[in-house]
Amino acid sequence: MDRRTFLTSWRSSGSRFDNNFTPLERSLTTGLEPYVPSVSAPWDEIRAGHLLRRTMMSPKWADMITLLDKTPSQAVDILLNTPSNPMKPAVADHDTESRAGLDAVLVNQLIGTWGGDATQLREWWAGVLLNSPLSIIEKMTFFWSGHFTTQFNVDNVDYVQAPLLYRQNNLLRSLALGNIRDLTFAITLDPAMLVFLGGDVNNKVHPNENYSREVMELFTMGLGQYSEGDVKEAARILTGWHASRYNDEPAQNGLFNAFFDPNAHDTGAKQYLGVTFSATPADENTEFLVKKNEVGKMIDTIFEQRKQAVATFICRKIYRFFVYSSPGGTDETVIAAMAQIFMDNDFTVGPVISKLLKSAHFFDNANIGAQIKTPAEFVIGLGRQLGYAANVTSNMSSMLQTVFNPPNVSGWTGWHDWITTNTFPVRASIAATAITALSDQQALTFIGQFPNNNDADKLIDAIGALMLPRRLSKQRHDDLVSRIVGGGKSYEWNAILTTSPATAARNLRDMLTTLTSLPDFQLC
Amino acid sequence: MKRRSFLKTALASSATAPFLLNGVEARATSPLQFLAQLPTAAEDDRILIICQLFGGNDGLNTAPPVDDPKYYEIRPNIAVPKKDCWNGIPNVYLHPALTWGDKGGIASMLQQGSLAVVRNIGYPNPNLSHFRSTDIWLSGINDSNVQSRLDTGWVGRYLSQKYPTFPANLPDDPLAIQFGGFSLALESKVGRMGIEVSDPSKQQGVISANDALDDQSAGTAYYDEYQFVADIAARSDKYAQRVKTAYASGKALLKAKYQNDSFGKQMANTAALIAGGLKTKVYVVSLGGFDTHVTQTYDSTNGAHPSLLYSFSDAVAQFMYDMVKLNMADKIIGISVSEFGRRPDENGSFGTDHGTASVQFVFGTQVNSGIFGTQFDLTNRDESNDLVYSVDFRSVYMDILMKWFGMTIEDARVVLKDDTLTPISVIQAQHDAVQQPRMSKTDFSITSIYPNPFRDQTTIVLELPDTETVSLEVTNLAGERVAEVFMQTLAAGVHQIPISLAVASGSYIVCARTSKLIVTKAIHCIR
Repeated sequence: MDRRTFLTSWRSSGSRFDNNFTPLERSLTTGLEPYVPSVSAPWDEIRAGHLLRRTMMSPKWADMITLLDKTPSQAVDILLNTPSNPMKPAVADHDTESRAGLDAVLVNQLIGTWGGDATQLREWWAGVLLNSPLSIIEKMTFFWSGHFTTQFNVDNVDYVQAPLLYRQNNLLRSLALGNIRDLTFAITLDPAMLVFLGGDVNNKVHPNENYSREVMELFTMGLGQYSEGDVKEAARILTGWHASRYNDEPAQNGLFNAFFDPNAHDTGAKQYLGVTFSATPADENTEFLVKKNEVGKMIDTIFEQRKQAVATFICRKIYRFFVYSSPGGTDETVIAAMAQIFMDNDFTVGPVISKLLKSAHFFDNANIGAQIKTPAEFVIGLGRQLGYAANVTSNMSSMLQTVFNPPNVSGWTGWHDWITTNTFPVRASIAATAITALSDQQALTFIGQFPNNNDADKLIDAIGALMLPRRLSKQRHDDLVSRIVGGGKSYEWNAILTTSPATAARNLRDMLTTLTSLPDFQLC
Repeated sequence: MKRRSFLKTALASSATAPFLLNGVEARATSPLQFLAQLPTAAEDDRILIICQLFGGNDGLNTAPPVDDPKYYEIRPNIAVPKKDCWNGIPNVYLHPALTWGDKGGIASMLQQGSLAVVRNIGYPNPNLSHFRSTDIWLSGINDSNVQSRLDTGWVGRYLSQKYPTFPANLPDDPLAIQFGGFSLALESKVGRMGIEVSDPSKQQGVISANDALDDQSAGTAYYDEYQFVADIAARSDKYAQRVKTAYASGKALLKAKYQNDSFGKQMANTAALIAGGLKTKVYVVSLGGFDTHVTQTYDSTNGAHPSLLYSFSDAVAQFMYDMVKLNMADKIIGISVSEFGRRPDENGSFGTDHGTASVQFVFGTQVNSGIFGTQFDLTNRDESNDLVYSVDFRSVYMDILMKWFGMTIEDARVVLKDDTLTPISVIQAQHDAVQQPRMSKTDFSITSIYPNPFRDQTTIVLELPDTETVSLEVTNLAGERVAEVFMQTLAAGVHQIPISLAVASGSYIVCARTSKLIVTKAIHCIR
């Protein structure tokens, strides 16, 4: 069967390609009970790889071996308990002047500087992800960066400078598995967020509703849980905060921090989500007290008055990130159970993640390989597995994922949006470039990491387990073996490897070029 | 209606009715000419361009109500001064950015008769979330239950009905092309109906998959996602060369000067693919940045919002210039869609927050050029202090599905999943399209029709700038005349014309013509 014939051969009646197609009804029998390895669900390279694919940016072979030596529960604990403390990049403290009063040429230079700084910051984080220890922290930080979003380039009108973005990124990292009410409170007065969603210009005369809406719609409870009146009242509560971001402006709390202007704050009484906020007397209109009595109370109100909605909303998002992007059917039961754990732990997210990752549901055969790789997972994964670390951030951008600059405040839509007739060919060509860049020596080192690598069948199975989400079918196994032996018989591999390493390397590159354009290489 | 009976009707009416008055601008008056031009309007050749303006375009500053002092009261910093507005047609004011560029922008298209401006467009129970409201606009379904997922688009549902074997049988040319990311408008229950293109000169394909799924994967989400990915690969492989070839031959034919910004490039690419002979029916282009909470303008006519309007307007005008030069304009219409307008009152950051009703543009030589919908009423607000819409955006979709894509009203309602919808006549009835003179500037209009809906009597209010010979008729939604009301000379001013109609329940179009202009409005008979 040639490739083209194959492409249409699996279109059978009742599939997605039948006009009577109805979307898959998810009806898994597993829940949050602990995963216990069994004959039908063994703790093997496939499941260790599954855990690593979902909690990091693609596994390395050594990581898989490390985890296989532990029980699944111990493996999850390693990922949860290993910290990630990346070095601070130089750009993190690069202060600049403001645009005010500059002529057009200087303004353009300044914007160029900010753009360059943002690129450096982006490359810094790509490097951190690429070299992450065996830890979930960076992936979890990635999750929050797509949740509590901030764009560097705010519609070409404003720019959130790299030092602010760096501090926000660090905030997300520090509470990645922590209390999400605390994180929501911190992000509300986070300088990058203040700039991005208009808090910085929100004043009592004309409140700006941008953040007050998104904190409910996108960050906590979701649509249908609040009124337009709540949006307006929250905007009033949040008046008066500013970010210090330029070295030619006063910074009463120090550069790159938030500060409070009592004159811009609306001290009147407010009604928010059914709770009365009494008027703030003039002597209590201070940074410390307004932060506590108004902003703090507002966030507490969200998590108290809409407790169930917040827990469900955030847990569904976690589920979509770690398990499957389009939950439905029985998945809702799992999400509800996660939400209960979230509430029982006073909105600390670590226990939810732990329970989920250790569950029979997470390791259910039906969930393995069901996610579409994000551009980050694809590009950084190539770096982690093949050592190709060039153009990481620009390659991600060419597939429409630019860290620190999501397309809009709701972050990346993900799922099917990651594969289009435009971006799938880009994936294939990025992979081809990475493979071409593998020197003979690198190719042989890659081969050398696998046990029994002089046995073509075992080598291909190991490479498959590392790079693809599920065990190879017989047909695919045979095809890839035939490629690595250059069209010959599998027993010829040992001779090729020992007598003609250059041929072995070339055959490996050929085999990998096929493998990386497979549909399941796009899945994880 | 079958083509044969439609021809008979059309020919009969053109032989007997005074369609064209004063002998002016009489084009295609003979049945032979009419027949000769028919193929250019064949339904299968027609193209729809959807321009997504993401973020919520500020309708009030796009078509400012400059004669309402309230407008300047509530927008002390960002209102557009009356003196700066385009006013090429009496009583119609547009933001000056809509005139910028060497083609005069879309304002000049209004003057030339190829732009409909639909004011006060929106929908009931407006949602002020970007994402939900965008989904409502692109799905064409106004489901106020926010928990219900809107996962198919109105164009996707139309195309999947028209091409029931898609994607098992991929047509020779892509059915739809989306520039940049992916649009819900094109999604259907069998997946997306189009392909995504970034730079058509570099469109690539990928040949993927040489082996399949094992028994273990049957019935899993993995199986579904694998098929999804493999299908995208098959499509990319099938269309890459076709897109490149059409682009290369079409690009050489373009004459207009598109801006080198993202939207300009997308419109230039669309023009090239159409000129290159691609049979794609729907193109989706997008322009983001309309979420102007902060610094929407830095003086009356400059800043973020004006430059967005300019990007949009200039690219559309350049595009239409090319299409007219290439004699392809009559088979193209385009619409702008934006999830909502802005709050009428400005906020404290020289911007505006999320609002409701806005302005929609429908462009092309086949539109009923003119102003639709009512003027923004700044005193009539909803409980959130937002505007109250007067035209439901789905009535524009209804008109497109019926007139442009040839659906019956019943089928169009099925696509939009609402059997109460009626069209607003923004597009010319296609059988007499070739007979209509192009519009020129005037403020001749049907001001109102009341009662509407009606039982057997209603009153049409016409406004005339000058003494004119006016013919008034009523057609059904297929464009067939059901009543000729009169043809007579009327003085300048407002005229109330009572009419009696013995017609079945349903929607009809009142069509008033002068030597310069044809204006239409929908009426609904309920018996």
